[in-house]
Amino acid sequence: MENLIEIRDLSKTFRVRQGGLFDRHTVLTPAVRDVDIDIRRGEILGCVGGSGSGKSTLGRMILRLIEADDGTITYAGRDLRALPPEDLRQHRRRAQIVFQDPLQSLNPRRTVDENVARPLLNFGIRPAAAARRVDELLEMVGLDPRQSHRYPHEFSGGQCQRIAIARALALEPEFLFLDEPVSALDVSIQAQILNLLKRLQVELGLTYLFVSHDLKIVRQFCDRTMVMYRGKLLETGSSEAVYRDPLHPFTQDFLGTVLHARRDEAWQRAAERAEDLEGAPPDMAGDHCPYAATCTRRVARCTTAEPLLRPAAPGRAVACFLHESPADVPSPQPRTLTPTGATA
Amino acid sequence: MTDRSAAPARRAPRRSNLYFVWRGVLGDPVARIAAGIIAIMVLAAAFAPWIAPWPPNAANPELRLMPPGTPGHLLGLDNQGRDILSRLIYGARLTLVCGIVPVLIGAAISIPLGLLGAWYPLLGGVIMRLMDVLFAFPMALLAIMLAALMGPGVANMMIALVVTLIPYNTRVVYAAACLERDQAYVEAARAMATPDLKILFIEMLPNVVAASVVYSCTIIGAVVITAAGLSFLGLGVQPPTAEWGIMTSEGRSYIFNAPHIAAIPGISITILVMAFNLLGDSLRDSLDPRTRLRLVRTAKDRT
Ligand SMILES: Nc1ncnc2c1ncn2[C@@H]1O[C@H](COP(=O)(O)OP(=O)(O)OP(=O)(O)O)[C@@H](O)[C@H]1O
Ligand SMILES: [Mg+2]
Repeated sequence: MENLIEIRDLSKTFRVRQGGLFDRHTVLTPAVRDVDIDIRRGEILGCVGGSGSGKSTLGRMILRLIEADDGTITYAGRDLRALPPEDLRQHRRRAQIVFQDPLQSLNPRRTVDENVARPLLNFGIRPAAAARRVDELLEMVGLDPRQSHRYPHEFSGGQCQRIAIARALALEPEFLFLDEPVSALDVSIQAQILNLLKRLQVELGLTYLFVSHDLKIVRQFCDRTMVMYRGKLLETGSSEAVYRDPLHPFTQDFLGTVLHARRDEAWQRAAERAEDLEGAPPDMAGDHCPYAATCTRRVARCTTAEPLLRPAAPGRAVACFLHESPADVPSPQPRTLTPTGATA
Repeated sequence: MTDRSAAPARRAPRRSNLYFVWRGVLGDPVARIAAGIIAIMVLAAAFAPWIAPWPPNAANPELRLMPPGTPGHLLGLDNQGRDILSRLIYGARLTLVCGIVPVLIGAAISIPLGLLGAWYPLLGGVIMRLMDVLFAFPMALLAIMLAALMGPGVANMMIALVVTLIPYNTRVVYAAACLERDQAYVEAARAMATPDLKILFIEMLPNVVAASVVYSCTIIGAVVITAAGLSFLGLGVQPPTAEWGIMTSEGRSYIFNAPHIAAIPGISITILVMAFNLLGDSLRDSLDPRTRLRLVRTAKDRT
C-alpha cells in the first residue's frame, strides 16, 4: 500500500515561560522526539501510550495545528511543513480532526447546522448548497436533519460526537485524526460510534490515525498500532502482532497493565509506572532509553545510549536493545559486551 | 414526527437571540419589573415635553422648598421653586444618555480589543499593559482628570467616561476570550481553515459578549454616579440643565430642611441602577443557549 503520510525525525518541544517578574525561566517539555512513522493510505493506525506521551501533539502536527520544531512530514508527496498559506488552506480540506470531548468541540452558541456548515462556508460554498450538504452529512452519521436547528447541548454525548464527525467529513477529507473519539462516551455508545467510524472509513476510503487509551478498542479497530512513551515511538506493528507478542518491555508492561493480564505485584508496579508518565522524568543525564529508569529488563547499554527504531520482524519495528541484532549497532557507538538478548 | 419526507416543511423555525431575550425577560418577574422601570424612564425621557407638567426651568420662588404633595407640584419644589417632577422627567434624558452611551461606546471598543488581545499574545501584552496604566487611577479620579483636560461640556464628559470604562470592560472581555481561546471548538475552527478574524468575531464573540453585556449593565450605575460627580464639579452637564446627578448635588445644601430635593433624584438614580443590574442578570441567562430553554418552554418543540 502507498504511504499517505511519511513522518521522519519529527520533534516538538513546548516552551512555556514560567515564574514571576524576577524568577523568570523557560520550561521545556519535549512532547514528541524523533518520531518516524508511515501512515498508509486507507489504513487505521492506532496510537497508544500513557498520558502525556505526545499522541495528541503528533496528530496536531500532521494537521499543522501545532508547528513542528524539527523533522519532515510528507503528505501525499508534498512537504507539509513548507506549504505556502493557500496550500495550507487546501490541506485543511484533506485532513480533519475529531476531538475527545464532543460537546466542547462544537461551538455552544451556534446551532448544529451552523456548526456543521462552517467548514463549507469557509471554502466558498453558497449557503443554500451548504444547507443541503449539512442535511446529507447528518443523515450520513445517523442523525435526523430536522433537529439541526437545535444547540449542541440539547444532544447526548454520542450524538454530539456524530455531529463532530459530520463536520469533520464536510470537506470530504481523506485523512482523519481521531483524538480519543470515544473516551468520553459510555461503553454502549462507544461501540455505536466505532461502528459508524468503521463504516465511514470503508465507504469513503478514509485513512485514520486513531488515538486511544483503551487497548481493547485499538486492537479491534486498528490495522496497525504504534506505541509511544515520553514522546518516543517505541514499537510499531500490526495490531494483532503487537498484542499477541509485544516486543518492547514498556509495551509488555503497558499491555499487562491496561488489559489487566497480570495480577501480581509486578503488575502493580508496572501499573504505577505506566500511569505515572506525567511525573518527573527519570533523572538520568545524557543518552539513554526513555524507559530505562523503570524497565525491568534493563541492560547496561540502556543507560548510556538511546536505542533506535529498528525492524524486528516482517512489518514490525522496535526501539529496544534487547531486539537489536549485533549488525545493527551504530558504528560510532563503542561496542559493549553486554548481552543484547534474542534477535526476534 | 417520524415521516422523513416532510422534513424540510416541518423544520421548526429558527429562533433569534432577540426572541430569547424577549421571552426570557417576560418570563422572569424580576426582570419584567426591571425592564418595565427602564422602559418607563426611557418613555418619560422621550416624551418629556408632553408629560412634564411644567417646563424644567420655570421657577415659582414663592413655593420654593415646598414638600411633595403641594397642589400642582406632586413631588414638591426645589430651592429655586422649580417643579421637581418636571425636572425629574426632563432630567431622565441626560441621565440615561450619560449612563448608557459611554457604556455602549466603551463596549464597542473593548470587545475587539479584548478579543484581539487574547488571540495575538504580543498585541495582548501591549493592550493589557496599557489598561494597567489606566487602572492605576481610581475611576472617578481618571474621569475628573480627563474631563478637566478637555474642558467642560457633555461631549467631553462622555469621552472621559468612555476612556475610564474601557479598561474594565476590556479586562472582562479579555479574560472571557482567553478561556474561550483554549476550547476545542476554536481549535476545530482552525482545523477547518476559518480565518482568524472570523474565529474571533463569528465563533468566539457570541461566547464572550454575554460576559460583557452583563458587566455593562452593572457598570451603568457607576457611570451615572460618576457623570453626576463630574457635573457636580462643573465638568459635565452645566447647571440650569436638569440632570439627576446635578439635582442631587444641588439639593445637598438643603438636606435638613427640605430633604426631598436631594432624596427624590437620588432615589431615582438608585432605582435606575438596580433595574439595570437585575436586567443584566436576566440577560445573561437568556443569552446563554444552555440556560434559556428553561426560561422558554415551548411544548410543541419538545419531541
Ligand atoms: N500547548 C502546550 N503547551 C505546553 N505543553 C504542552 C502543550 N500541549 C502539550 N504539552 C505537553 O506535551 C506533552 C505531550 O502532550 P500530549 O497532549 O501530546 O500528550 P497525549 O499523549 O495526547 O496525552 P493524553 O493521553 O493525556 O491526551 C505533555 O507533557 C504536555 O504537558
Ligand atoms: Mg491527548
